[in-house]
Amino acid sequence: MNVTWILIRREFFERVRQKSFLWGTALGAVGIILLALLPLLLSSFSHSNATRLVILAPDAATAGDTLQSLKSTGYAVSVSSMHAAGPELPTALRNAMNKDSYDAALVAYRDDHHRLAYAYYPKTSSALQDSGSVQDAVQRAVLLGDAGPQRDAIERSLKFTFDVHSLNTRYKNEADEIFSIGIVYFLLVILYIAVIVYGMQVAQGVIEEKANRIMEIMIGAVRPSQLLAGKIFGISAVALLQLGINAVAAAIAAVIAGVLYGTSTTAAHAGAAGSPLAQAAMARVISEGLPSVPWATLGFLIVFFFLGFFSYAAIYAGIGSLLSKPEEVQQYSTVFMVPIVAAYILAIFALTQPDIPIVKWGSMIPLVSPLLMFTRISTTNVPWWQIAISIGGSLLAIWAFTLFAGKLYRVGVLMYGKPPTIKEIWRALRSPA
Amino acid sequence: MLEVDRVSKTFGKVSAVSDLSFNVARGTVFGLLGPNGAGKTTTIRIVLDILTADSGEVRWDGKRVDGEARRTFGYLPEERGLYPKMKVFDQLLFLARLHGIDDARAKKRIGELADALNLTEKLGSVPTELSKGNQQKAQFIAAVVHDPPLLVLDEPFSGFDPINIEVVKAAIRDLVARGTTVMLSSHRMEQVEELCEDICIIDRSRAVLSGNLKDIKRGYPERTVTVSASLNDIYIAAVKPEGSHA
Repeated sequence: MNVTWILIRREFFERVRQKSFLWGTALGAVGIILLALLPLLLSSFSHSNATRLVILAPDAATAGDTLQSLKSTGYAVSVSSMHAAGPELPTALRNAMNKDSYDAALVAYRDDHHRLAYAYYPKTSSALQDSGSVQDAVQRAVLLGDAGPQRDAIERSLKFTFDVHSLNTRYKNEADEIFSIGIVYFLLVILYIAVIVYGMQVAQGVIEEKANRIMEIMIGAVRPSQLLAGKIFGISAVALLQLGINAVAAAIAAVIAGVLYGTSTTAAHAGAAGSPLAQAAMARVISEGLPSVPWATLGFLIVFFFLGFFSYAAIYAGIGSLLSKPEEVQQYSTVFMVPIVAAYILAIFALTQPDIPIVKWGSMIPLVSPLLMFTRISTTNVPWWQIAISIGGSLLAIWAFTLFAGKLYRVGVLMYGKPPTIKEIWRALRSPA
Repeated sequence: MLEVDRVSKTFGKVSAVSDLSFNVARGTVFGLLGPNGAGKTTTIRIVLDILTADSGEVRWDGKRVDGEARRTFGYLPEERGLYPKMKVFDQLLFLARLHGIDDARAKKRIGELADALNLTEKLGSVPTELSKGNQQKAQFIAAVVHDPPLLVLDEPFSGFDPINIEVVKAAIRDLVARGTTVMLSSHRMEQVEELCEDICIIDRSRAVLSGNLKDIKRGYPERTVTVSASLNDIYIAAVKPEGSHA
């Protein structure tokens, strides 16, 4: 049997046999299902968590117009039986609001010039944040209310046609775009967390072998480069298994969501929950989930997961080989987490602006490229040569990092006690492999 | 034959081994003796090609020791270690595989060695459940499971009680009978005296005395005329070896 293969097998089987792995994976899968269903469960328990708005108007016609105008906001709007005489909020209504009946009140009145005016009394912070939307929405009511004899003509004009003919080859409409971005964001978070978590496991694993001195026995039979390869490939196999189980859990969550609520109801439930488009898109992400992700996106996810993971794993293994205590990993790894955190922040930008220069060039620079290029590929049309540079660059970087890590390994694995000096590290890197 | 030929190694300004030469004949036990910090472990690591000598050469059967030769050697490091949560048997099988031994042969050999060292019952346990002595025995099996032509033992008796020292000595003799060449280090003369044909005593990185043990002893006038049981003998008689479990 090939030595590296023996090492990979041990790494994989010993890790998946641990109780901590079994429990961690099982709880993780249950967590994913619960997390995916949580918004749906919440929205079904509370009959509606939409902002409750009460309208107070001087007359029935104004109340009707205002009610009509506010339909687009998705608020639960009710009309007060009282009549407004001015901008003030009547004490009775204020008391009702304090008793938690309403989140906001909108008082319509005629000002000194007999023009229609509004006073908005938001109580909750989300209602306060929506002040602008409310103002936009009631414009229609103001136009109609002040129209006088031209009211019919204006009403006809307001029913103008507005069709969206998307020239974007990816998204047909706004909901579609939010849906796609939602999925890419979800996958991006998984990619980011996986690289950090499993990269750390590589460093921890190396230190463990040093700390319990098994390294001393193996170093006689195995080359440092083989130990390194065994560690990285073994843990990446564990990572793939765990991600695979999580994917299955997500698919199960999608099926459950579909059965319990049905896709349309899901969207309606979520839609009632607040800002309609994003919620509806989230609901689609949850209920349609992974099956609706294009195969190409999943393929690139796996490719860039490996490129990212191997780049960082080689670095973490190199660091690990120089340290003696698991606690020390935290200290030193912070420095090496900077690129992945930077890549993550840039990738959030890249979700909506995939073609700005910093994102474009970043997607071709190793260590940050896996997250950025994955995001760009999923959100815009990337020229093939940029993808080639990104993948090629990462492969080159992995080769270089592994070479360096192998050299550090050779020096580091038998070094105990004090962390190495810069001079020692430099000497190790310059020595022949 | 193992030849260590004018080997030197320095760490920064500290000289760990200077111009050290000795030969270990096939099928014999060689003792590398000296106080702590004399350079024994560094010498052993150079022999095993874990460290590279600054100058000089180590040869096995006339050829410079390389990765291929090293893979056949057995090594018991001074700093003992096993995977704490992996079953002893699985670890031994894993290490045998790394040395290129097929599973059937490895399993048979693990069984024989465990019998010889009274460790059979513990093969299904994980190291954290074992006493220190049994961990050391497991480690010893790990070093010899692949029938190495050259076995290097760094302080093989440290951590063992007198009874188990005898058990391990017997195991070493058994290996020598099978044709294994043994090189061991120690700072306790009495523990290696009856095992070694040849010795080399090093102090502060240099060889101060080397050659055949009997010849060396003949060169020194006898001084002791004590006729009493040693504490070792008394202890062994009192504790009774057959009831022992480290």
